Amino acid sequence: MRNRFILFKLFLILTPCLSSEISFAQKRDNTLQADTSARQDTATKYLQLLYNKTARHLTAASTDAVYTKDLVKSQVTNVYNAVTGRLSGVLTNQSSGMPSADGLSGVSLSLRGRNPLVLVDGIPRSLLSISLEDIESVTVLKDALATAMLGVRGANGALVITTRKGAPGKQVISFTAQTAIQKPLDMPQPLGAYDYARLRNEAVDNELKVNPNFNGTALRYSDADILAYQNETDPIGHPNVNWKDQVLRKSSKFNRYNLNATGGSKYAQYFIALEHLSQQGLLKTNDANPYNTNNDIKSYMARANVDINIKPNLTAGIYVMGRLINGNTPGVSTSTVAADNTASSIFSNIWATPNNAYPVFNSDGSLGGVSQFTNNIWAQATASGYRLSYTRDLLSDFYLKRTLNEITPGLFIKARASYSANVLEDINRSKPFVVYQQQTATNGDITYKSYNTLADQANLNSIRNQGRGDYLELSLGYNRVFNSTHGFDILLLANRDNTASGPDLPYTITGGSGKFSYNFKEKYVAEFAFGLNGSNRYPDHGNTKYGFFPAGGLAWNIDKEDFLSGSSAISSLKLFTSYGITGWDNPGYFSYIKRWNSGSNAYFGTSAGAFGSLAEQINNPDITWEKAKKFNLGLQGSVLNHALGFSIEYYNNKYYDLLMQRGKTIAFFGNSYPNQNIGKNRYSGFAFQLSLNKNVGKNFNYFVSADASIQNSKVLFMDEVNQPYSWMTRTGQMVGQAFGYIATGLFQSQSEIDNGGKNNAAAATFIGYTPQPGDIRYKDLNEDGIINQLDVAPIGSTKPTLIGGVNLGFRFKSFDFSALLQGVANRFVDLRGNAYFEFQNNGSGQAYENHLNRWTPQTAATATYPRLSIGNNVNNQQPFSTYWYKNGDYVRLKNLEIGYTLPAVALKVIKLNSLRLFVNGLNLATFTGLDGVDPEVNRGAYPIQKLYNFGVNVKL
Amino acid sequence: MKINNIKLTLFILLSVLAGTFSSCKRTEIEPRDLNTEDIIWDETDQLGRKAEAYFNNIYTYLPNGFNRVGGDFLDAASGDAIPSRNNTSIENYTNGRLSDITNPDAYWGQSYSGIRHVNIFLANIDKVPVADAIKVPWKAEVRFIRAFLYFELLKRYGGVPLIGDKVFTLNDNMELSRNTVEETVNYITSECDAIKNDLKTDPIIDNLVGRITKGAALALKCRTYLYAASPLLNGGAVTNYTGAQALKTAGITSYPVQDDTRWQKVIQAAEEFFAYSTYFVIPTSNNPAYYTIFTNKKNAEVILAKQVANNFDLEINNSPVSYINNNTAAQGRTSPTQSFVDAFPTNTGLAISETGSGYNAANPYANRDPRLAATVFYNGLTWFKRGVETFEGGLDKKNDPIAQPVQTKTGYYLRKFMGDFSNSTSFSNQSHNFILFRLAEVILNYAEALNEVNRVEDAVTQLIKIRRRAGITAGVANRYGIKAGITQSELRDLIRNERRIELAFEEHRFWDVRRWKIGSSAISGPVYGTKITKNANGTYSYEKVQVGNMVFEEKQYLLPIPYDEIVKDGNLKQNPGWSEFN
Repeated sequence: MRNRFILFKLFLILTPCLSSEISFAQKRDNTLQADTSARQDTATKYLQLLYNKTARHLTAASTDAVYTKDLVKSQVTNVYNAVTGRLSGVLTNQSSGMPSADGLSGVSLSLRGRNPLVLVDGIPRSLLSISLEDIESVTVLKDALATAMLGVRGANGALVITTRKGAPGKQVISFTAQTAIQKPLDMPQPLGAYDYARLRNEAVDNELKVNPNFNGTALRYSDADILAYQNETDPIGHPNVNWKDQVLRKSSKFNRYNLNATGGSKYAQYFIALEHLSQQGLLKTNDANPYNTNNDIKSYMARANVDINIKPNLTAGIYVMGRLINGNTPGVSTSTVAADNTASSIFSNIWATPNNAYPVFNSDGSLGGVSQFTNNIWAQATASGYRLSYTRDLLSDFYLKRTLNEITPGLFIKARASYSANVLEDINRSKPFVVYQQQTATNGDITYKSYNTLADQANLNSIRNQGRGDYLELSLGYNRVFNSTHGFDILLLANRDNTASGPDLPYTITGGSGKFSYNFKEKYVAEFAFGLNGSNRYPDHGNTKYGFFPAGGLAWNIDKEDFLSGSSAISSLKLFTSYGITGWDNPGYFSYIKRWNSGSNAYFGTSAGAFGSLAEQINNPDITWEKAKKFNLGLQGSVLNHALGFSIEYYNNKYYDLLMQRGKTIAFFGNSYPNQNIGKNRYSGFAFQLSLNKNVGKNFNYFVSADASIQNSKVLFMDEVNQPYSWMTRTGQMVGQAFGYIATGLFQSQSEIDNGGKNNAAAATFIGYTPQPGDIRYKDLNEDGIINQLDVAPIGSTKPTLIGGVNLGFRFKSFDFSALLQGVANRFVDLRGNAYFEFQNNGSGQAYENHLNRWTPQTAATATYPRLSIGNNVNNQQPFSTYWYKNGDYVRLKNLEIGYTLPAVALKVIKLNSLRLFVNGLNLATFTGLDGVDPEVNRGAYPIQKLYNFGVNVKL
Repeated sequence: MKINNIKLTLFILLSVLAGTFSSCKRTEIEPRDLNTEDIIWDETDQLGRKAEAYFNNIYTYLPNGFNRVGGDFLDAASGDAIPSRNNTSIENYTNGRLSDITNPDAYWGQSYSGIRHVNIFLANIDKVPVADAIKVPWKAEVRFIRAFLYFELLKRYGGVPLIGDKVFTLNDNMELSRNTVEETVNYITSECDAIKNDLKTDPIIDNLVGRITKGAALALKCRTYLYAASPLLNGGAVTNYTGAQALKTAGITSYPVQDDTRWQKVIQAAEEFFAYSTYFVIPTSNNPAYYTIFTNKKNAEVILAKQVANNFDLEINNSPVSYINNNTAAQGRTSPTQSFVDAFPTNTGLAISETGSGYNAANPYANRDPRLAATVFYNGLTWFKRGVETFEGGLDKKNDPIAQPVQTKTGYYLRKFMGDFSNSTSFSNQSHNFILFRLAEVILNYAEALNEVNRVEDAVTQLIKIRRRAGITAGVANRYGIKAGITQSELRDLIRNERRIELAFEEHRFWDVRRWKIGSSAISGPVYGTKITKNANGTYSYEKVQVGNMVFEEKQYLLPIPYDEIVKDGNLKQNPGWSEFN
């Protein structure tokens, strides 16, 4: 807090000096204030495609885009979260809020049902936590035509991120400081020790009723125990620790500082930026430690994008970005990739440990623990040492562009080269800790029993991941309009993308591509594009195999027709369509080669020596890329002088040759089957967009834009087995359709169980199970009186996914306001697992407040949870059923921002070009039918957070 | 000037273009670090190093034992013990929940995976120029493993598809059908005969202990004939279900017709074994102690064991729950039943119910067969310098719901296979090789077959060997508690009981009750333990209490073939009583 204040003060002091220094090079005038927004307006008219920009009406491709001013509204660490709800057809899901080195922990992205390729400035990249302020635009390329030049990597669509570049004109220096308070979203509320003990006794009694093999004596609390929990008289022997409150903070901090400058002359233009970001973790720390144990992330990024006009016809550019990310976590480790998983191990323990398991500290101050729970969670968080991770990334792009107007006007040739490198280093300074079980003998003597072994603090470092990539590209372009009638935009391109990770051989995609676009008076547009490329991971012998992927499209700008040109009502209207064949490269690591991998050791000899072994891994010698035939049809336009815009699109994409294991894998074969190009899936849907942008007088402007997509899918072929019953058939269902049992509520009485009708089908249950009142009742689809794998049917939604976003806002004088709502429908979540069920792990697991609503004979009418049991009850909890697969539809108030820009008069006094104060919030409200569960995050995972953010942006 | 400029630019651009394509020519475009076919079957490696690694991998397919079924012993479903934890997968065998998708020990895919690996080895090993002295035993050993895997299938399912030396490719028709029991038995035994003289002989040298020897092949043959002659496969099958009779008639679930001369083959095989080697001998007293059979890697009573690195997992998994080793608490997972403890005679060899046995119900563990103390932790047995406390409220049965929700259900814990830690304070790594074949089993097979062909006294002679080694006193007429003039039927019961206690927890009982078709009496109905109360004067009172109930259905004599296989293979017949569609 203090540091940030000093920095800001320092900045204010420096401001006049800086501004006076640069003022000689520029004339300050009133238009400067609107400089950046004006540039963005141009950008919205011009659309960034894969390798070039085009006017929106001169392409038949299906795209959507989002620009800097919206992206920076979200205080997040990666692009995926910033585009949520802002790009039509794109669905993101964030299943964890853990600060992580790559910013991508638990985040997934899908476009029209598939995972798209991500490119930064035209080059495929996996790195996505680039500074949001560095991004000029994010364009989503949806149809075959837009991605045709990607060839073998185009089938899933693409997300094209374009970084900001300089432009000739005034220098603008912008500084933004933001600080946010993060609060975790919904987390389950654990039961207090008294309720826990009481309910577990009830569960033990329930078990004994049906299971004669159940060992109740070991699990039952005595009346004295229950009383001790109720009165909380014995904090050591009968503790009540809310681990969530014990280990987690109520809130944590998130700060971001960004300084960037853009400008240039006719000789050179630049955009340079510095950013520092620090995100605090949710864990509490212990001041006694001389080091930090919270799971924090700090990053430092720098970028310089410089374009130089060497000669009037020769341009060069150098774009460099460097990034350092320093992560910190507690030392406790459950995985080889320790640094990212330590926090999650603490989280899973929080949800798995009952309040009465052990005291945090014994009466002598030592750490508490019992044989069932030797990982004292407080100690895991604060007394297990720490681990550091250092991520270093370097990206550098260079280009040289020569216009060849002397040959023919509009012709140019361009070469590009890029190099990237990354390294992730782990430092392990973890240490084990010992816990003690305090026991008081009948004579009052206190004894201690210890668990875990004390050892030295580790002092190790290791490289977790190292990668490098290079990219070369040569292109020849021709861009000219003849007689204001025939417009040509032609691009031919050859490129090679080479990436390597660790010691593995590089993955290289080489090839050429091209695009021909012709328009007649900007009225009729015909486009053809192709990719001819392939990767080095296919038979035979690792030589690149090339595939040809053509696509074509037509667009008709109806508004340019004579019969409409006079109309003032219609500002623009475009009908566009495209069709093409695209590919998806998914070859694995030379998986066509049959190989022998290390198996488990064999042991021989009286000294039991270990002997290495090798096991066969079967190859698919015929592996090839996946393919898709994609069709797109759309209508897009605006009326009322562009104030009201709309678009509607339909797509139908048939994916084939999808790599999957055949459905009829059989054990006689003796090994696992390789993936083969056999799958066929269809993805289809509609997308709608509507936007309104209006100025009311000079001082008031408002906008509303809404988009909605209907995304459907269907499995056409998966080599499915001959299912005994029609409801078991997967083929023809949606891709990823969930199958499970159909629950029809809880048995309310013994007579319901006894009178199940024919074959007792209405009261059917699992083989060998005796149902009790309070158990879940399932639908016996084949009416054989038994619930088994033959009664499994599609559950959850079988309807197309519906996704949408609403973005609205206004500007009134110096104030601006905007809000973003995002929602998903026909979505289901699986509410099962340790953090949902009671008394898992043979009874030693936790229970939660929703278990108070369990079924008992007294609460039969209102119960929302089956009768309690110990462990995974065969009838109630083990099966995947509609009882636990719940509707996960939600609408989130993803973003809300209020800004205030200082009036020009005031700016003159403090010698600034612009000063804007803003407050925004992320995930402020979520509307969902789920109770006590966030719709995106599984219970027990690191929660995602709500942010309250305050910031200031200064331009000079 | 202008031209030069163009030339320069073009030069740079073309250099980039050249770079784009020329740099593809790396020396290594396909990874050569992979162990590919030509490296595994190296035609120039006289020592066949990679082929040997593949050979080693086949050894990992030998069956394992101990706490392998969801953390429990298979024997925890045989009536000899129950799992201490609640709701474990092993309980599926005894609570009526077994089905074609809930069988915790399906073993189907595992066997065929091993068989594939053997067949690949046999098809390729001749490419490698390894000396015959090495190669011939290699081939024989992997064929033994293949035969053994078929035996594992036979005892679970009856007749199974035999695939010979075939290595399937992706495009083969995989809809195989089951061979008969007879064909399966004949295949296993003929393989044993074919390879027995190519295998190394016993005793094997120290640094190859664990490799398959001729003794193992003969023991496998003997065991296979024993199963073939026993009631289940010898014309017994499972009959009380729709279509069951047809499967029996077809010879898939058993020989179509019972034929008691099949016992002769067991006798011949056992005699061939005894004639083969003078190395395998059974001691004439309980010295070295019985437990050392399981902790000495090489001894004259073990024919073949699955070798593993020394460890104390077994001790941690099964020792009474209050023992803490290096701060790790023991788990006490296996609770032997009262009926199992009662199966041990007294040291006179007489059953505890017989008069003159010397059994005292007030001090039930005194003067018992020494194998009891080597097999079961009972109250008072010394371990870590203190007596095990399984009385109510004792250290190992605290009834403490917070600290120790898992404890014995029966008042007993499993002791067998562990080293002697009675006077230690912590566990040390022990040899825990799971014994696949040992001498006592061959002797008991022999005794059983002799008795079945009514050579009762010959069988008694064999049984005496086992009892003498166990440390039972010689008694009247040196008959070790076996009464004079014992009938065939009485001796049958005695042999079965001897097998139960001698081979306990070695994964025999689970299959023996099936092959004898005594499941409905042996693992059905109430299960008992003992509730021990410590009296004020330091003595204990014992009360037999029911701790569970077992369900056994006739269909369980043959296990269900996994559902996934049945739906994918239209020619594969399911065993009777399991899922009905084919």
